[in-house]
Amino acid sequence: MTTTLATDPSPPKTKRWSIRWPGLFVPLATVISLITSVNAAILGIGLGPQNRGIGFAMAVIVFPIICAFLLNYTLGNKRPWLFLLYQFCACLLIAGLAWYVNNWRWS
Amino acid sequence: MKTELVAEDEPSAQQSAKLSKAETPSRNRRWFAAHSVSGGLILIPLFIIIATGTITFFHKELVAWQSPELRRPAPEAVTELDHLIGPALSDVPEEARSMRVNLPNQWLPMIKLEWWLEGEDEAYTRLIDPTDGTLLDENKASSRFADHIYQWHFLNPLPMGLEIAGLIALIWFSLTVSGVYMHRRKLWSQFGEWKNRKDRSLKSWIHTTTATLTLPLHLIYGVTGAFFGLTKIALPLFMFIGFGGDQEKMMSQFSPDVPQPEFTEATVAIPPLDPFIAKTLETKPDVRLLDLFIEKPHNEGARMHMHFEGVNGGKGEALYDIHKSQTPLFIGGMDEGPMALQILYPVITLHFGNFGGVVVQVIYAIGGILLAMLVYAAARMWVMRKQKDMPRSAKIVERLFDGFALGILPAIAIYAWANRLLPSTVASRSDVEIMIFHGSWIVIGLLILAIGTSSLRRRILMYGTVVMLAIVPFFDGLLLQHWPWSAASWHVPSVGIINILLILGAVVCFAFPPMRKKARPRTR
Repeated sequence: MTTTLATDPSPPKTKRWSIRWPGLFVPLATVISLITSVNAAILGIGLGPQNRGIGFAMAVIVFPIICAFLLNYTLGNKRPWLFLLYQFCACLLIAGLAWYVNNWRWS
Repeated sequence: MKTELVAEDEPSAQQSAKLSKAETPSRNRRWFAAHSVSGGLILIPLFIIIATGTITFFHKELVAWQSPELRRPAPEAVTELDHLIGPALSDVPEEARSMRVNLPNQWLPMIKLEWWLEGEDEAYTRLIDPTDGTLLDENKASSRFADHIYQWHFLNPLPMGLEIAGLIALIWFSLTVSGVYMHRRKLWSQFGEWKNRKDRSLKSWIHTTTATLTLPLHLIYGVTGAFFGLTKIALPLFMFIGFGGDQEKMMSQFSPDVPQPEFTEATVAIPPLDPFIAKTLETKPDVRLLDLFIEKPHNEGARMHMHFEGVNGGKGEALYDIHKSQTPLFIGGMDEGPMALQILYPVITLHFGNFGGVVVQVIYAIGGILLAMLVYAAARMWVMRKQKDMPRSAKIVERLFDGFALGILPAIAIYAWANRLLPSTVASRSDVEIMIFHGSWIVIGLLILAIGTSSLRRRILMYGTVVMLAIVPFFDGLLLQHWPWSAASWHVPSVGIINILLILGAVVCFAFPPMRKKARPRTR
């Protein structure tokens, strides 16, 4: 058994970290982030002001912004597959909520 | 000093907590990996999109430049069309899906009549002299140089190219977000840190400083590019979730509040168009008419969109049901249309940079060149970083980037040569030009892939492009007597300026000392 001094000044090395399966993972994360962001933007239309044109145009502008953040949080997550699963569930939930709000409020 | 001997495989509680914390990569590190991986995947198409987009800022000027035989002074504004286009209009078949009459302007001083048939993408064209209505040789204006380079801006020649370009814009926007996050503490201080940098460190400095300088363009292009490219994917989602699957209800948000055209089975002759022009100019006397677009011109429900431009450059349209009434259904600028268009139109205008004349075009073009430098520096950094861990992949990516991304530049120069040297008598001249462009691009790409690349070969690609483009104005002089300094070359001033700039570009490249730096003979 080797021994060492407890006062060893060398700092512990940072573990190397990289994304696995980028060819599969980046497109998948992009598409799920895209769909989630569009759904979130549509939810905004439903909750928006009386003029739906404003809501619609703002949603179109906002969805790339939401998607960009989601994509970074997905790809830069410690457990990306788990985050992707959470995002998929959130996507379904938001889509259902957006559909309900839009069709209830504007039908 | 008091020391204590402990076993290495049994670290103290304090040390193990420290190790655990250190092993957890920070968000900066994780976002760097995301930035690197997703950026590496889109390097080549992104460079193509940026290079072609930068050229396309001068689309109008290039339309004039690509047809040297047609250069003549801009005609007076055309306000009466029927006696000029009457004979050509009779060629438009009854089954035409749509037709357009482009009115003459300083860049294309001809009336251009186009129509499309059901199920066909290619347009049928007639060129008409605006002074006496005579038909002109269509082959003289058949080149699609400007249009085809614009097509490559959104990867349209590729299958699903538009959607791929949209996804690339989206990933690009996410790269901007992660890039800003990683460099948030040195956004401004980095500009003073350029000294004593070499190789990867220099590329990194170029990458981050150009990215900071072009940050507004990243934000504009990321949002609008994604909006354009992902329309086909995003709009069905908007339709199903936001509008209960009703497409008309959704699209009504983007169109003026007028009834939809009602097409029937009956066919009728196209009525005189002059009264509609007079009506529009009576309501909007200060505007310049751009074109007349008619949906199903021989159908009873034909709808005409008459597009015009205000004195401040703002666009607008007048809508007519040409077989029913001469009263416009709608007439106004984009700022008078539906609320959705009022918001999105400025966003779209920001993407094209066509809101402030040539000054804005030049600023946007400089921004485009900086963006191309940014992507180039990113590619070099990526290759240098991966050379140790993945030498084979790094070599392939380097060759692919140099061959197919940088290779588009000399291919465009060869396209310009084909545009000047192919005689107008060649059948389907524009198609042959495009074939030469694609052929030379593929050959350059495959050649680099096969024989390898080096800094010397990259310089040859760049210098070759500059030299070939600088020779094009001399073709105009030799073949048509339109020398860059003769009056004929300045009938359309922007064309004269382009020709002078092409020559000056080559002079500056060879005279500017840093450009003459001896290239390292490093071949992979």
